[in-house]
Amino acid sequence: MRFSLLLSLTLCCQPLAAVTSPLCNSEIKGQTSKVKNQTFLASGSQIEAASGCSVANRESLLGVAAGAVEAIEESRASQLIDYFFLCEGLRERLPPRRSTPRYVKRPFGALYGPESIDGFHEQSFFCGSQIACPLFVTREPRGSQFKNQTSRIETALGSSVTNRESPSCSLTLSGRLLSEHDDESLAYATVYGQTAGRGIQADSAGNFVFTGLCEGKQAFTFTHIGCDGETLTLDIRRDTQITVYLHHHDNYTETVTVSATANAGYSRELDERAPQQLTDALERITGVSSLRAGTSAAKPVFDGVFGNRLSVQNNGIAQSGQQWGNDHAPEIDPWIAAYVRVVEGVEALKYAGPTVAATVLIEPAPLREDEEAAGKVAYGFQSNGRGHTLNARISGGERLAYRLSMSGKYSGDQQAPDYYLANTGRREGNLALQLAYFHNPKWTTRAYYSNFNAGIGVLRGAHVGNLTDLEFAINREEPFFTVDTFTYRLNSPKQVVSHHLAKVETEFRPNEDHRFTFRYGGQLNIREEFDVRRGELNDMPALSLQQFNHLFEGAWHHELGPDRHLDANLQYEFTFNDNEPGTGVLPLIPDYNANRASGYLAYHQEGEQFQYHAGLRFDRQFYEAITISRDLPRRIERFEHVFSTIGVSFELRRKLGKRTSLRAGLTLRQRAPQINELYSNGLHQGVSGIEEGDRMLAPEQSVKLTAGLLLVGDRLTLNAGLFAQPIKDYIFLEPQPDFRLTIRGAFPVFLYRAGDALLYGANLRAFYVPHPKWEFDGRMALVRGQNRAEKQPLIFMPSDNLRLGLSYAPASGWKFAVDGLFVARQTRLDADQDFLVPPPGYALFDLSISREIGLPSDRSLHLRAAAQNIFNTRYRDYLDRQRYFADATGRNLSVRISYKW
Amino acid sequence: MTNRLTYLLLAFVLIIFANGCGEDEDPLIENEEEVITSVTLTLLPNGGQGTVTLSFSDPDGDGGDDPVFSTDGQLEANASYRGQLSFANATGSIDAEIIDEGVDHQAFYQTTGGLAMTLTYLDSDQLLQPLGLMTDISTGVAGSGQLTITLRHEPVKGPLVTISSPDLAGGETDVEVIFDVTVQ
Repeated sequence: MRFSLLLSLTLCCQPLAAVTSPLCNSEIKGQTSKVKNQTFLASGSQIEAASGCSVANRESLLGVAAGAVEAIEESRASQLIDYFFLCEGLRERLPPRRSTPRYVKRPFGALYGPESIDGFHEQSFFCGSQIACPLFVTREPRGSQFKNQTSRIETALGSSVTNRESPSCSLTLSGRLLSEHDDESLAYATVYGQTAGRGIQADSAGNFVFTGLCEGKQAFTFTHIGCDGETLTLDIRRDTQITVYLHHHDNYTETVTVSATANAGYSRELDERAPQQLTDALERITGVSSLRAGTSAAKPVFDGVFGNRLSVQNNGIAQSGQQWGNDHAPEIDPWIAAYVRVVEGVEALKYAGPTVAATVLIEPAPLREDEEAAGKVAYGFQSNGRGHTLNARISGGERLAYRLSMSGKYSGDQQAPDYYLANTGRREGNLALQLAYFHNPKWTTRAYYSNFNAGIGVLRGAHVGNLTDLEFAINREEPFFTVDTFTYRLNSPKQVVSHHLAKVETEFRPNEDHRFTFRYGGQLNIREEFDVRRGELNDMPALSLQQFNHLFEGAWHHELGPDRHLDANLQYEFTFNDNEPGTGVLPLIPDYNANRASGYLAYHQEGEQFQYHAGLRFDRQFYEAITISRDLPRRIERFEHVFSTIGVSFELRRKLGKRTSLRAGLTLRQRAPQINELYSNGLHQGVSGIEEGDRMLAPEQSVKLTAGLLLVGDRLTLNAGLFAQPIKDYIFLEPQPDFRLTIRGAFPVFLYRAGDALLYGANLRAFYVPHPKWEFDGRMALVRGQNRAEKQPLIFMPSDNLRLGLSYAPASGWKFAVDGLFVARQTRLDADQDFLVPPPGYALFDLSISREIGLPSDRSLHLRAAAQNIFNTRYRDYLDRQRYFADATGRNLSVRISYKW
Repeated sequence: MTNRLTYLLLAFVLIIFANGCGEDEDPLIENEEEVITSVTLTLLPNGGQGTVTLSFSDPDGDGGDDPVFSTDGQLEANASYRGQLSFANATGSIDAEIIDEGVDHQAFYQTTGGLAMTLTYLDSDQLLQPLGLMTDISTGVAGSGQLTITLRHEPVKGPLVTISSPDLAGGETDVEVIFDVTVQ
C-alpha cells in the first residue's frame, strides 16, 4: 500500500519557517537556517522522517502563513491512524483518492483527521493561521509497533516541519463498575487492560480511571470477587466513560476465580441445567446437597438444613406452598433464573420465609432500560426418560423493557441401570413474564408474573402400605410393579402442582443516597396428590391443598458515605391455606390462616481492608388453625398461636494482604414452628408413617458461627469455610417405640418433639487454572449433626461428598468437561433410626462436549452433548427416599441445542 | 408524582381488604369413603356347630384410639365351616366394591402358633383368579394361635401365589388384621 501525503505551502506563508529539532530520526534535505534553536527550512526542501514518526509542520510565530503540506511517497505501506491539524481557518482541499475520511473542522485549535483510516490516501491540506499552523502527521502501523520505514515530506516555500514523537498514549477510560443485580457499586473491582498490559483497581464506590491509553481497539477485563468477569473490547479514540455491569452472584457462600481469565458463561451453565429440576442446578453450589423422593422431587439441603429451615426466594418473594413435605420440591423453573445462590447471615435476614440461617435466592437477570433485543431458544433430549425439553426466552424494549420465558418438559419412565422405574414420568409447562418501566432516571416500576405447572409421577413401587409391605419391598431386588416396557403415561401415584407468582414493585431514587422500594408479591399454590385408590376414587386426589399468600414490603436503602450503607424493610404477609373438599381422606395438615409482620435493619461498612455487617430482624407470626379432631365424633376445633421471633447477625471480613481474606459471622435466629410441626395428623403416604404434630411447640433458637478463608492466587483460588450451629428446642420427628395398629396393619408413628441439636461442618472449594485452556474445580462438603436430646445422630444429614470437575477448551468455542461426584456412605446413624441401613458410598462420572458457533450479527448457536452417570453405576443415595425400593437412575445421554440472538 | 404514589398506596390497601380477612365458615368434614374401619370373618357351620364371628373395628382410622377385637361363638375342632369375609366403613359395607374390582383385590389367610386351620379359596374374580371373600375352612386339633387376614390391593395374582403367601403377591395392603383364635 502506498501513500502519499502532499504538503504544500502557499505563498502566503512566511518565506522562512521554523523546524524544530526532529525527535525521531529525520533527515532534512534542503536549505535550512537556524534561528534560536529552531531550524528553518527553505521552501522546496525536504524532511525525511523515519517511519512511525510524526512530522509536524509548524508555522513560524512571526507572521501569517498559510500553507498546505503535501506528503511524499511512502516506501512501504502502513496505515495512518490519524492526523492532527492545528490550524486556524483551515480549508481542506481535495478528497483523498481511496477513502473518504470524516473531518471535524474547528475554527481554532485542533482539526482531527479521519477517524480511522485503512490504507492510504493523498491529501492536500491548506492551512493558514496567524499564530501557528502546525501540522502533525501521525502514522502508526496497526499494533502500535513502529516498522522500519521512511517517509519524506516536501515542504513548500516558507513552511516549517516539526518532527514529533509518535503521539503519546494519553487517553483515559473511566467509569464505574456496578452489580447488574442491584446496582450496588463493586468496591475495589479490578480493571485489567489486556492490550495495555497492566491493571488498575477501582475505588470503594466502584469508580475507576485508567489513564495512559493508546488509541485503538483495546480489550479490558473487569472483575470483582463474587462476580463473573467481563471482557469488553473498546475502540478508544478519545477519553471515554463507561459503566460496566457485572453479574454478581455471590456474597460469601460461593466464590469464583478472580483472575484474568474471564469465567465466561455462568449464565450459560445455568441455562444448560434447564432440563433438570431446580435442586439439581443448586447442587453446583458448594455445600448444597439434595434431599430426594426418587425422581419426583428434590429439595436443597445446605449445611445440614432443608425444608422448613431453608427458605427459597423466588425473585425476591419467599416461595410459599407446602414446603414442609420432604417430597414437595420447590415449584420454580431453573430456566427463568440467571442467578442462583445461597446467602446467609445478615443478607439472609432481609428475606421472609422460615429459616435458621440461610436462604436460597433464585433470580432472573434484571431488565435494563434499552434492553438489547435478544432471545434464546433451546431444545434438549435426554435418553433416560426419553425426555424432551423446550425452552425459549425473548427480551427487548426501551422505556418498557420486557422478558418472556417459557419452558415445556415431557418425559416418561426413567431408568435405573437394570430396570425401568415404573410411573416416573413428568410433564411441565412454565411461563414467566418480566416487565420494567423506566419512568425517569429516578423512578422505575417492575412487574413479574410466573406460572409453574407440573404433573409428576411417583414410582409405583414406592407406594407401600404398612410396615410389613415396607420390609418386604426393602428385601426385593426390583420394586413391585416393575415392567419391561417404557411408557410416557402418568398414572397414580402422582403429584399435580401449579404455582402462580405475581409481583409488582416500584422503586424511587430521589437522590444518590436514598432508594425506596415498595413491593407486592402474591402467590397461589395448588397441590394435588393422587394415590392408587379403589374405583372412581382413583381420580380423586388424596391430598388437595390450595394456598394464597400475599406479601407487602417497603424497603429503604440509604448510602451513608462512600463505604457505608443502611438497609431496612418492613413486611406484612398473610396466608390462607385450604384443603379442597372431596378427597375422601382426612387432611394431613389443616386449613389455616396466618399473618406475619416483620421489620429488618442492617448496617454495612465496606472498607477495602475491613468490612463488617450487622443486622436485626423481628417477626410476629400469627396462626389460626382450623383442625378436624381425630377422635370421634369428628368436630372442628380452632386454635390460635402468636410467635414473636428475632434474628440478629454480625459478620466481618478482613483482608490480610493482597491475596488473603478472612471472614467470620455470628447469627442468632429464632424460628417459629410451621403448621405441619404443630398440626400434622395422619398417614403421610409419601413417607409411610403416621405423623402427628404438637401444638405446644415453641420457637427454635439457633446460633450459627461461621468462619472462612479466601486465598486468591494467579492461578488458584481457595475458599474454605467452617460452621457450628447449636439449635435449642430443635423440632424433629421422634419415632415412637410402639407401632400404631390400624386396619391396614402396623405403622410407625412419628411425633414432632423439641430437643437440642448441634450441627457442624466444613466445606472447601478450589478453583485452579493452570493454563488458559484448562480449568479445574473441586468442592467438598462435610456436615455432622447430633440430636443431643436423644443422644443420637440427626437423620437426613448429608454424607461427606466431593465434586471434581475438569474442563478443557482446546479452541475458541469448544469445551470438554469431565465431572466426578464422590459420595461417602453415611455412617453416622443408629440402627434403630431407620428401616434400612444407609447405602454404600458411590462415585458418578459425567462427561460433556460443547461447541459454541458464532454467527453474524451477534447470534450464536450452542451445541452440547453430555453423558451423566456415564458408567451406568448402580447406586442409592442416603438422602433419597426411593432407596428403600429401587436404585437411582442410570446413564443419561443428552443433547441440547440452543440458538441465541 | 405524589398523585401516583397515593394511587399506588390505595391500590395496596384495597388488595389487603379485597382478599378478605379469611373465611370464617367451618370447613367440610371429609366423608372418609376410602378408609375401611371394620373387618368381620363369619364362619358359617357346615354341620351342627354354632356360627363364629371374628370382628375387628377401628372407627377412628389412623387415630390414636385402639381398635376393638371381638369374638362371638366358639370354633370346634375337626369341623368344617364356610368363611365369609366382610369389610365396612362408616358409610356401610364395601363388599360390593371389592367384588366389582375383584381383579384388583385378593384376601389371604395365614395361621401361626398352635392354630390348626386350613383355608381354601371358594370364590374368584372376573378373570377366574382367586378373590378370597368366601373360603372353605376346616379346623384340626384343638389349640390356639393367630389368624392373619390380609387384603391386598392390586396384587399380582398367579399360580405361585397361595392363600397364605401375601408377600409373593405384592400390591398394597388395605387390611392386615391379626386375630387370636382358639379351637376347642
